[in-house]
Amino acid sequence: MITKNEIEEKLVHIYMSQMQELQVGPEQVQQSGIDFSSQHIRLQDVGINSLGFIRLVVAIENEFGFQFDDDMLNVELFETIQQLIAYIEGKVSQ
Amino acid sequence: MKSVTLPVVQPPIYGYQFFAFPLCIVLQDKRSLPWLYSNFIQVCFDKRPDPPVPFTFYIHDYTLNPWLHVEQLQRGTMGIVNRNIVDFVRDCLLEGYYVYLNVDEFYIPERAVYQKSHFSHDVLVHGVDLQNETFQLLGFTDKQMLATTSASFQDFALAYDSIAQIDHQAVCNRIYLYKVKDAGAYEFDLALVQETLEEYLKSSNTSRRFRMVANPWDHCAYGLDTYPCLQDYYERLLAGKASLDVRHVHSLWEHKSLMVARIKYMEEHTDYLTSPNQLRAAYGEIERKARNTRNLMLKFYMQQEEATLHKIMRYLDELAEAEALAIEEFLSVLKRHQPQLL
Repeated sequence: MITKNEIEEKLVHIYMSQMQELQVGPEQVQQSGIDFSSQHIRLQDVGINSLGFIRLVVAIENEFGFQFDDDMLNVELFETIQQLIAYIEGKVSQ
Repeated sequence: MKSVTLPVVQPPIYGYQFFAFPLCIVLQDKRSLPWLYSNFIQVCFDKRPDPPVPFTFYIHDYTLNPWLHVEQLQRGTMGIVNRNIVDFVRDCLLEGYYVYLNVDEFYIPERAVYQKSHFSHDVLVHGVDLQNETFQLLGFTDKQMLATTSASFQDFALAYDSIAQIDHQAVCNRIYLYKVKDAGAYEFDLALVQETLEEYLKSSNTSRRFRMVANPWDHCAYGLDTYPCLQDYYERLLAGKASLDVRHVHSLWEHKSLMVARIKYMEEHTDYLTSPNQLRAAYGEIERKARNTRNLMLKFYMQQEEATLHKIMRYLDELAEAEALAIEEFLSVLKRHQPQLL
């Protein structure tokens, strides 16, 4: 069974890879001290908009081997990163 | 005066910038809401091969609304008035005019094609910083968001001049000046809403309303008849005979989203919807499914899995059926309230 910390680590890795692809500069994100384990970090704070979110969804599905429910393909439903981690946790434990 | 930034707001319709920009300006003032919710009901699908705007709201002229003063120029006019484009745009902004025109985004920073390829695209210039010699431009950025970015006077001039090289047929020759018209007025038009809903339901050609100024657009499908056109597009996409275009289902979602907002507005600001619970629930469900359809198309854009397209096509069938019932219910509720208008 995958732990919450492992989910968090994988998510950070996916996010950093995507930022690199988008040439946003993950080092800027690291330097800014964003902590994915914080309860308060919002997706929009780390530059994820609706299109970026779908890109993230596809990578998460590939990494964790599950499909997002169609209703959950909406960035507005995940205000914080912790909510996204909780959703992944729920899906992988099914 | 070192800088001027004319205000803009996030519009409810942004799939096509030519719709978004006037709304960015006039929706700052809540007095424009009765006009917004009396319009943007009909949709049309252009059935000609490879049209530039395949599917969106049907509006006769996107620049016409009660709160927008519009002056229409063409690029050639700049030669007649003998003005440098930077000086002209700067002076317009200082006088309170937004400037809507096409530029080559190869020269505009923070655009997807910046320094990569030449692409004529429309922008709304809504600010100028005289000290730093930059303009503020609203448009789709490289992050796929409608947002304001800056371009130096020098880059802007290059982007403007380059259009002459890349748009040989001068299809985007316009320079429109927009200014807020404070004296605008428009009351919510129930009759227009009813008539346009009827036209949507019956798939009538709404452009016939404007035949005194233009021949009807008989090359388009309207209202519910646009669903088979969307299905046809997805059939062709599956067969490799059409290119990938997210705009179809984005516009579909914008339409349902605006219908939900219209119902809410009518509930809160008019007495035309006295028992809208069923209608509100039905359109809420339609909007949810349309949003999922749009998001699935974004997913297809990244994954290219055929199963996603099949699901989108199934959702389109379900949406067509549900929307026909919802509009009948909408008309029925309005008819109960104002039978004399039908």
